[in-house]
Amino acid sequence: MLITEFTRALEIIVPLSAIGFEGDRVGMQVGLSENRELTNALFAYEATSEVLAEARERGANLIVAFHPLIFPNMVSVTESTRTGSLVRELVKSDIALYVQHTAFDAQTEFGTSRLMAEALGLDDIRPLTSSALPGGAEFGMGAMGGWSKAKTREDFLRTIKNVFGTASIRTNAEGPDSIKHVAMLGGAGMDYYSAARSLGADAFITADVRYHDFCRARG
Amino acid sequence: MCVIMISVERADNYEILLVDAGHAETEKFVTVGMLRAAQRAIQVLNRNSELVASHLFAARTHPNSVRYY
Repeated sequence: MLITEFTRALEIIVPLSAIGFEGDRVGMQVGLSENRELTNALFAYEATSEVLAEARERGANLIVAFHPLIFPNMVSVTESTRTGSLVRELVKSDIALYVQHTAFDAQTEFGTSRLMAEALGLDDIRPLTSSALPGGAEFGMGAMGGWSKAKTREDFLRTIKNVFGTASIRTNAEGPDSIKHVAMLGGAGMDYYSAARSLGADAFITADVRYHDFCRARG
Repeated sequence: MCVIMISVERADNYEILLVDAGHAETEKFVTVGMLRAAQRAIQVLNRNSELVASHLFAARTHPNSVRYY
């Protein structure tokens, strides 16, 4: 199977036109020639020197990464920057880099927030927003679900720490004592906070939250 | 693109528990999820899915640029 055939296949399930925000950098960021056969593919959170080393070790000539490596502010490819070094390393190693980022976030069956909700053991999981591509395929950002029995605030926070394996979480000083309906968006998700509120979530789990966002959550 | 949202009756000033659980932490499942999506794509194409799937791997490392002390 050619690398180009494989990435076209990926787009059946994760269409790149269904990105979470305009201008997101998805798709092939470092390409090989069109007629190259796929040897192996390594799926990774982002391209780092450790991930590249693993790709070489596994004989992979394609890395499918979640986070983009190349952003529009990249003006040169030299070893003086981390990104430049990684691009040079990819090219020298003959390894392609393909990125899914918010196109994967928006995938309602496998996407980032759906995975979070499943890991929390929530029922009745649905996206926070639901949209349709011109061909009719549905996509949406975020997820919301509920437990049949509410958790206490302490139990809820302990569950989050365990499920996401984080040493420290931040939360607002006030808030409901009982949590049943939970909304979430993995990564920086405060743009979807209002959607979580309007759906009646007791809690919203995300990241990169600012101090004044916590003030807003007090109602 | 059409966005559909279903509202629930709630007071505008109701309190919500906002939780920052970390960027890389809330995205910790994406590698396995992307791999599962790829396996599904191969099935949809009706290719020799077992053969192709044997060429797909999830990375051992989950990089995180943040440390907690």
